Amino acid sequence: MDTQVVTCVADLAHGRSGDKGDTCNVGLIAYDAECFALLREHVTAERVAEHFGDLVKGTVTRYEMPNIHALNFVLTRALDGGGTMSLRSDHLGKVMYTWLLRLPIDAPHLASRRPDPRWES
Amino acid sequence: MTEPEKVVRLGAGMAFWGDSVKPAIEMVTQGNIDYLCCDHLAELTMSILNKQKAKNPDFGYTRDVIDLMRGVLPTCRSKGIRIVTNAGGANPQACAEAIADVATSLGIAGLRIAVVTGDDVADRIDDLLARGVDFANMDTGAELTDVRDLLTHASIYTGSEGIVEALDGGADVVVCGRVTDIALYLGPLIHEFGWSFDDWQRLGMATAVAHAIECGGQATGGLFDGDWSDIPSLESMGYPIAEIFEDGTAVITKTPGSGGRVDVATLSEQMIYEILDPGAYLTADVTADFTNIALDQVGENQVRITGATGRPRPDTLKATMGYRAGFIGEAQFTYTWPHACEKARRGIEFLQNRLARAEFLAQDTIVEYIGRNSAWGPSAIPVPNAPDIDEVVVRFAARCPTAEEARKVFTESVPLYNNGPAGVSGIGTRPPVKELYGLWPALVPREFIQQSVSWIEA
Repeated sequence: MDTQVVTCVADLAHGRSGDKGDTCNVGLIAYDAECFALLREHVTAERVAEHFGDLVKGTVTRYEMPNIHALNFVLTRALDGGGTMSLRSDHLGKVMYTWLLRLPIDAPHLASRRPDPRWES
Repeated sequence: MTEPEKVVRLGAGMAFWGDSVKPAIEMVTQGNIDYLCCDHLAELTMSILNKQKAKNPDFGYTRDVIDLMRGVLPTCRSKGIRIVTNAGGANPQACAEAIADVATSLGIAGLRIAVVTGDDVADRIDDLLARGVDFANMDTGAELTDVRDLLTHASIYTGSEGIVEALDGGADVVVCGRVTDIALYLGPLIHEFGWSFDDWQRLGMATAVAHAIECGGQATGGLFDGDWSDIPSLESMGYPIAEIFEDGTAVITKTPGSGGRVDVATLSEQMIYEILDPGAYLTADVTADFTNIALDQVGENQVRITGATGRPRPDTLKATMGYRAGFIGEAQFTYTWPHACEKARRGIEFLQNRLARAEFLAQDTIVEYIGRNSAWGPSAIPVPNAPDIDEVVVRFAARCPTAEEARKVFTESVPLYNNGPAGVSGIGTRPPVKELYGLWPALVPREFIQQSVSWIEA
């Protein structure tokens, strides 16, 4: 298999997301320290807010947990009124993180750490 | 000779109402645990349970607890494993009586069941309002008067005090209502180690441990996004067990011989699950700080967790209240090649036009093209236009003020069967009208809330 280079967040990190009322939090775990440094540099709260667009009506705040190479993004007014009210299929925000995994990262000098063979969307 | 360091082994038996009971049964049999801690309650659960209790005063608890007890009680009894659960939901007393019945049917005598209450404040709202508790919505600032007459329940996320009292009093099973998930774990630890209720450092550290395991299989490889295809035997996943030391740090593992995987990657994902500011994880018992948590692999399926700290608990407790918020009506159709998306769009237009003629009232509507943009919405992926796609499922949903309006979504979509575009399937199911409950989070000063413990013996 050809070595793939880093083109998006999924090449640097894995993630998980969930709900607290109408707030969704999206966590990213970098595959290693080098990936974490890149995430910190490129995945700012501003870029995340822009990437989610209308899906998030409120604010985006970024937090760090450096020892486990994690960033946590807190997205308010992000679940169409919250799990009990939302009309969305993903009313609990369980797959919100996957959209963040697709945020483009411009780092073609680095090999992707994504464990699975990638496929085109 | 110094005594070996004391270790308390807590197992996470259930993670939500309806979770499989098998991991808990395997854990009590093979996991060498001291306590089985079971969380059955999510945000919506209390609304549903209160509705069930209103219909039948013997209901209102999560009835999966019956199967759970049938499966674990004999082993727990013989091994001395104590059980802490919030399956009591809206009716802890009825839950405890049902557990006693299970014990009797299994021939178990002398089981001491403690019932922890004090979380349910539905009958105290007027009194609390009169004492100056405003119940303003934490998220929006709105006043309770907006929904006062529509409330279905009011519960307080209560802490570990009642559980500690129950365990100190010799309970074999502790049945709670809306205690925090974390309290199910802190209770046994405070009881075992004799920590004081203001030992913020230990409580903060132990809160991180509890957070790591309280969602069951999500700590042991379930929902894992990293090298997910490498997780062994998801079908027989073992649930997490924490071996906790006197300083609140722990080694996290899982039931021996089970599927799943405990490593730094699987646990890291769970550490960031459903948290806001990791520096201020607020619970009824402590304000925990997860910022500098460290995870170290110390053996196969064994991860040491350290680095969390704690600060004083908040002066307020969180109330979670539910209110009736209308109804949702939904319809869903599958369209096939060729021009599946175009046909689906025309089908939705057909439905919307018919609803307009039926003077349909809705607060909000949504159209999702499942297989194209349902997960991330049209802002991520605009309305699809892909003439060669094999098939697409289109879903229309509406929030409506009444059940009658919500039902119109179904009745007005039925004609799509033979009057709309061709290549359609998957319609004609029963009208999926569902009542909606809004959640009303508010803060209540803790001096107004007192837990109490009562006892049942099987």
